[in-house]
Amino acid sequence: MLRKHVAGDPDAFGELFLRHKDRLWAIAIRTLSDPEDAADALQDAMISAFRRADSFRGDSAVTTWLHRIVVNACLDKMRRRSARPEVSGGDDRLLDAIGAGDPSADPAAGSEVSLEVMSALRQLPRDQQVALVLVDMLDYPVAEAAQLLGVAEGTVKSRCARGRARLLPKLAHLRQPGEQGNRRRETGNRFGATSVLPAQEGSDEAP
Amino acid sequence: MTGHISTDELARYRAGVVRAGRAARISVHLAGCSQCSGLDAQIESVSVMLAAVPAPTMPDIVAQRLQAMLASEATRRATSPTSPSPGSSLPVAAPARQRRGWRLRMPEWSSPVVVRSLAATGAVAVLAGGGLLLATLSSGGTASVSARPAVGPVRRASSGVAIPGNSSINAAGTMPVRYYTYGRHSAVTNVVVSDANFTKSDLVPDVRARLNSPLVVPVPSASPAAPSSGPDVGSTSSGNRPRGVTARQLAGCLSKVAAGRRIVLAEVARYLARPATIVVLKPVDHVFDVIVVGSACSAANSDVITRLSLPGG
Repeated sequence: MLRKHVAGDPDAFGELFLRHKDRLWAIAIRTLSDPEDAADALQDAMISAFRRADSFRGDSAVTTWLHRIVVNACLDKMRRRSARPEVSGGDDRLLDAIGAGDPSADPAAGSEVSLEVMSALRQLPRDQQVALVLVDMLDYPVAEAAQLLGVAEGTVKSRCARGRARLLPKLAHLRQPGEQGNRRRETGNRFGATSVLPAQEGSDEAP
Repeated sequence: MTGHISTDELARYRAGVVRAGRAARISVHLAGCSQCSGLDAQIESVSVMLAAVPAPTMPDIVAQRLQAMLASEATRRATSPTSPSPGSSLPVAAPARQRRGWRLRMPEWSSPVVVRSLAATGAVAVLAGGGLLLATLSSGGTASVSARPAVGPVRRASSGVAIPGNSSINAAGTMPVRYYTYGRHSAVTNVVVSDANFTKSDLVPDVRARLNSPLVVPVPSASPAAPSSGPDVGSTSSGNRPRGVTARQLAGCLSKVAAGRRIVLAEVARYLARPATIVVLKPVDHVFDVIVVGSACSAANSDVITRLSLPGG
């Protein structure tokens, strides 16, 4: 699909976007929390990917290439946002967006536990937040998360470990009595029917 | 191992970043220490809680916005003389499916005030009350702008504020205009109203000069002119054919032209002596998009006269 786009097919990139949109949105909304920031970051990323497609060398999967551009745009947005004093206003804006009739923007906003988890996550240093979003929340294999972030696998593991240790006291009150960490299996197909699974992206993989 | 294991070390052990010898000792300790194995389970539960946060799907409004943006990129690419567009040399229109996706939700503003161009006065008229304000330009017949509450008041420029650029250009004023980014989300840009006449050769240096030193128009004093002293909006006091843009049209135009992106500069002026609005979008990969639209630009039709990419963002 990317090759078609580079060859001039005006619809190809749009198709590529449609295949990946939910996954890309998940990255953006989970790292940035604010729907407007997430949409902005995705927009920058998509324009950038559209224009830079011919520089794709095929040494990684298209999926990784595209997701990496989005992760970078989100990191960029986080950096710029941290220079802004009104960062903490993000929660209200998120809730406003949800209340304004956009319930799919972030289903986490519908659950108090999820909101608390997200709120605790946002208190972590950026690199730990993003590592945990990719590995624990979105289930990226550590190796792929390392590629997306452009760091070594060990770095991703360390960031996740530090992040989990920091989250533990913040989330202690949310644990069910007797819980032994077996809920993960029950969460099952977390991306639902609309998700983009790797198998569906096969035709985009680099040869 | 005598003491218990710290949360940090246990988390690193779980993540597999503890040296092998140490990991073996931790493993043995965990088998015989309920306190540490309990802590271990708690660390695992953190991952479980993170995994249990529901995965979102992209809201339609965001998907539509991005599709519209990609369609406009595709059109830009197809029509840009510098970019390779193998196959057809004809401009490629955005696919109908994508065009249908873009719906501007315009607010319920009060009926637009028809703006008329006034005689060349070089003045900015400020009408008190209701947020209705009017800017006129010194070179009669060019775009004048009026505003209702959704569009802020025209800030009076004190006896002509020089706009940076090649020629000596005075700004009649600036006016905050709210435009739509997506869905109900909107942003405000301070639209400059000037008597500038952009030309092909000066467009790039003029835009660059404006981006390098943004116009700062002083906030007017607290006492705007009384309504009676302002121009009569309803009359055609000018011999010029009424020609201008309404506030609603300008907001719609900016929403259409921005296609979801942020505007960093908008100036109602002239291009090749015709009424035009120069819009500069937030840079992507350090490249600004500069779009010049004509007086017919609205939410429905962008009336693009020309567009170009300006590196240096």
